[in-house]
Amino acid sequence: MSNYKEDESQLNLLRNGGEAVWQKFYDQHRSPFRAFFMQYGRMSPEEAAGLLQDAMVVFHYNATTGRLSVPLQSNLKTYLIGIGKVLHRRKGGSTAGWDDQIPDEAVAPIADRIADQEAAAKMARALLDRIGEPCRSLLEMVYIKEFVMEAVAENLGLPSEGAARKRKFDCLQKMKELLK
Amino acid sequence: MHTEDYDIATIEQYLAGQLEAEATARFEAQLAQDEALKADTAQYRRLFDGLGALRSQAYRDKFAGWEADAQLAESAAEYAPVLEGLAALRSEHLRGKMAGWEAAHQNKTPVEKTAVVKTLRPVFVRRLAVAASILLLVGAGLSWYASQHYSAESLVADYYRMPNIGNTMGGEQTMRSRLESRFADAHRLMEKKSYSEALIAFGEVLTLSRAAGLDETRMRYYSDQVSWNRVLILLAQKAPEPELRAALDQVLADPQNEYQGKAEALRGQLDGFWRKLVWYGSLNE
Repeated sequence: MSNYKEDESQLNLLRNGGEAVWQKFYDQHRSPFRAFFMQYGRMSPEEAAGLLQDAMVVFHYNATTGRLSVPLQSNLKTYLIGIGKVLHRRKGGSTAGWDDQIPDEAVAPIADRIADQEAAAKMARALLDRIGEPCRSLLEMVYIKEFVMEAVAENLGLPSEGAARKRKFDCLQKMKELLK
Repeated sequence: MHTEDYDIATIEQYLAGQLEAEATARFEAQLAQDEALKADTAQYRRLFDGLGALRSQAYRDKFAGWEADAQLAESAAEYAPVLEGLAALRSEHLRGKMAGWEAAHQNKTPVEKTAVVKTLRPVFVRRLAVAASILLLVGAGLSWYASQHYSAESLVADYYRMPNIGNTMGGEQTMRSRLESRFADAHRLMEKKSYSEALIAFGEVLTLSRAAGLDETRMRYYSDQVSWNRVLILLAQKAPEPELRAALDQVLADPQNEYQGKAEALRGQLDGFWRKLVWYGSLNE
């Protein structure tokens, strides 16, 4: 039996939901996150807001790629603040002496995942730079800008959604060849 | 052996956890037997992870936008007393002016009182004349105030804001760069008050934005900019009332439109007393 049923439902919503769900999550966690780092990290409101955005990028990646999955080991607020803590340390900040609600054990795997994410993004960007058009635009539309296939077809002047889907697979195959 | 096209779709669904339990079991059984499929799946996992990481990075702009919205909402609450105070000062300023006009009028009346005609005029006629003079002065003052603050030119100046259009010189002539360049042109024309040309430029911005492959947020940005600036242009050009109202209603009817709040404020001003005063004033010109 999980202790974090509500958070697990929310994670499921985030994984499958659109921008509105993410914005709601952002608004919900903005105040506690900023308050935590302004209190313990002695950050200005602007610095704390910047850190929150960095942490949200990492959180988004972990949530949407299944790296953060059920059963949860902590609630989502603790997890997000844990990411912020790792990012703060990576920038040279100290977390010693914080009256800690975020245990270091919860933070340790996050640090590895941040490094994975950075490496994965770098690799994908390099491959997109090499793959050429129209594959680059198509893959960016599908996987980064989250266009529906109908919009991809319209933007690329393809006759149908099916044609766009077929082109997507061709481009993925081409990208995989570049990976070798 | 596996058919690549079919497998990519299945691999993608499998990696995203979107396959049904039965299909997942079937796929995993296939994975256990097919080394090539296993290798492909591993490679696609790397690709999808990489693309997912880029997608998360692209969300950074959205997070920054939501942060700006949140800060603005907080600031609006903080600045509300200041804005109310300024509005009160504006009213006080008018009160001061009217007091001055009244004092000027009062200074003139003793001369009239000592005039010979005093005894020849019934008291009520003199009082009527004084009241009419005050009304005339107050009317002139109100008309001046209305024209200063509620004329089409003043309203456009109040509501128009040049966005940050950055440096649009040079660079490759992609659809997006043409869009940005035309958008900058449109605002420069607004600044120069070349409203007819600005209207044409904003029309082109709308067309280009639909063809430039923008994400939803950017599409929305340009669409909101075009619809709102069209309202301001029609106002500045003193377009027929139904045309202006139709453009304004378009902004008002869209709850997602960034300028809906401003549109409501503008509608309030257009429907208000001061604006009507400007309109009556213009009839007498």
